[in-house]
Amino acid sequence: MGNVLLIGKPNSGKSLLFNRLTGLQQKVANFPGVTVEIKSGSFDNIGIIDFPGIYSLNPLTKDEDIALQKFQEAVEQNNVSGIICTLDATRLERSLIIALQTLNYVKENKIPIIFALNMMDEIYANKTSIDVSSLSRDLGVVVIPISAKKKHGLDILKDEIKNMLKVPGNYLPEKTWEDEKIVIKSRGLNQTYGPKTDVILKKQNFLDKIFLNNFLGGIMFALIMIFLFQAIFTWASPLMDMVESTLAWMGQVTSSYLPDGVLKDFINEAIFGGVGSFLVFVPQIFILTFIIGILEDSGYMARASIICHKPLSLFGLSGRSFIPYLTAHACAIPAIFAARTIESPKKRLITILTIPLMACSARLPVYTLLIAVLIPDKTFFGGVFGLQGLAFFLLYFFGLAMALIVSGLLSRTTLKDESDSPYIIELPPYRLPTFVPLFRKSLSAAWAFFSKAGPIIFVVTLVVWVLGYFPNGSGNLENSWLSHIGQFLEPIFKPLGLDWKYGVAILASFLAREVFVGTLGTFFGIEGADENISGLAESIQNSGLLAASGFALLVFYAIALQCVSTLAILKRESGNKLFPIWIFVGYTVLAYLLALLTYNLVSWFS
Amino acid sequence: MKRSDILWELKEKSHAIIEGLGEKIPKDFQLRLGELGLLKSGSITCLKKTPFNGPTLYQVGDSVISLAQEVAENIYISRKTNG
Repeated sequence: MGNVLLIGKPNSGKSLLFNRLTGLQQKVANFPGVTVEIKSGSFDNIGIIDFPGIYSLNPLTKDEDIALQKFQEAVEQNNVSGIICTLDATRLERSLIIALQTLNYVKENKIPIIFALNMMDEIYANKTSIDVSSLSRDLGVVVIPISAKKKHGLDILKDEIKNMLKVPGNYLPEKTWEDEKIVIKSRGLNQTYGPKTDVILKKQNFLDKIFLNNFLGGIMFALIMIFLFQAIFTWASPLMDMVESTLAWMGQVTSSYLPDGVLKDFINEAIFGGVGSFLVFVPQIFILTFIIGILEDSGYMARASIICHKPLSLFGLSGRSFIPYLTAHACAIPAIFAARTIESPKKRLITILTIPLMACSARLPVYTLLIAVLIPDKTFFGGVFGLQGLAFFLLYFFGLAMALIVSGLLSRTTLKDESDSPYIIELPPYRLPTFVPLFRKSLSAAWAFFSKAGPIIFVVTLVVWVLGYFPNGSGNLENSWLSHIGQFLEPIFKPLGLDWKYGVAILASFLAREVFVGTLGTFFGIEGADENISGLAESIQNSGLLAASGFALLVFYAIALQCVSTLAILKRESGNKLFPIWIFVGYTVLAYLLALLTYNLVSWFS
Repeated sequence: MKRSDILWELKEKSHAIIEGLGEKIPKDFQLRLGELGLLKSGSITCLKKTPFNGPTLYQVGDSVISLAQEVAENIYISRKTNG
């Protein structure tokens, strides 16, 4: 027996229905673009396959095209015993368009079908109604009113599904409609049998007056974004610290049973250090997915995109690029995940490409060190205004400005001819999110990161550990293979006024930027440099680092993509092995050239 | 009924009848706009304009859609009431 396919338009509650039917939680929602996830589950030995939500059987975007292809492949391979088409009762006219298109398609392929009329709880709550039996008669198909959220009508739906598989002939569609007349027919059916539209839209239009108000809307937007930023930056911190300290403790306990030597160092530094380097991001990804999920499910994300669309469109971006950009100030990895919500493939690509330019938290230790070295700790207006604080602000602004400039250039040059979607969105209703599936979805996103990106990060970490460890063992970075490479590459860093030590620190930090501080600490003999920034800054100042070289380093770190975790995620999200390589090379070259320009400009002025 | 030109110029809380979609809108997008309810002779209401010529909200049938300027200025309408 084949599977039962679940299809319907986005926001029709299809994923929740899938979860309710199968007891499984759908791991990932419909990603616009590269990844189209198709989930499967079962109840009473009936296989259910959940397809991504699509607006129409006439695909417009790449992800709709892929979803439709997969759907048609499943049907053509005779692997389908029946179809459940989910309709949003509160958007009956729009839902009926894909429903009627599907009826035409399944009639041609002789597949039985049931319509699940979801969100009926909202219809009753609004004191309106749908004439389900007349609608069913007019359509010539079984229509079951349900509420996946309130778990109403699910047993009846399950019984109908079982019946459909036993007696498929009773569920074959009776009628077809001319493609050109489907939209008009849907409107007619909605007007005849559907709920009162004005009642349904009253609450939505009222809330839109608040959330999209010219003044209040902006304030609400800023508050929500501050909340999101705080959640990723502040709330994730204790969890991240816990992951780090737990791994460090496990490393210590494990190595205490081992004799000193390569094996002990390998397990402690490479294995536990390597695992820690990606495990530490898991809490951020979980929290981000959860909050983004709330914004999506509540309907606010679509409103936020409207607010941001115009200013960002000047740089070839979408309104939806804002959330990833904001998130990127904490970490590029959850930000790249957040970019999945951008519908336009071109704009998503540009957003993903420019996310690594934001001043992420891993750049903070580097900025802190170099600012302490270069900028005097002077304050004005009773300590309210400080030069070092201003330098931080300028670095954050520099990152954002670079991202917008690169976005603008890419959209007008390299990606000019890429197909793009004009900004047309249907505003989903405001709804309270269903928290349990959201929680499980966030866990799945964290697991997906752990299982798919983790191994790549781990392997690269191991390679750099080996290069830094051998041939003389731990604490001898100066004589390691990595150092030989650094000395070999010294001519590259000389034009920036930097010696081989900085070269090695830069090389080592190509895995993760924050390694720069620790590596310099090793060279300058400062123990625990990450916590003793001022001591290291003083040593660097005394070593005679030129101001021009310091500023060149700042510019280099503001642009270069030194984060293996980000590269691993870029590979996964783009589905292209070469993509992370050319973005890495591109930003390294750009960082170097701008650092060189900075060095020469500062040298010339001073 | 007053003949007007483009949807983008329709003021807030005004109603109009759609006359047609401009040729600058690609065929596949015309099809999608039709599926979103933007059909010839169909009615449309401007619900909300956003600052700096940002995307505008329109009610079409039982849905609210948001269209960017480049789309809305290629949709022709005739006004039901003076907006």
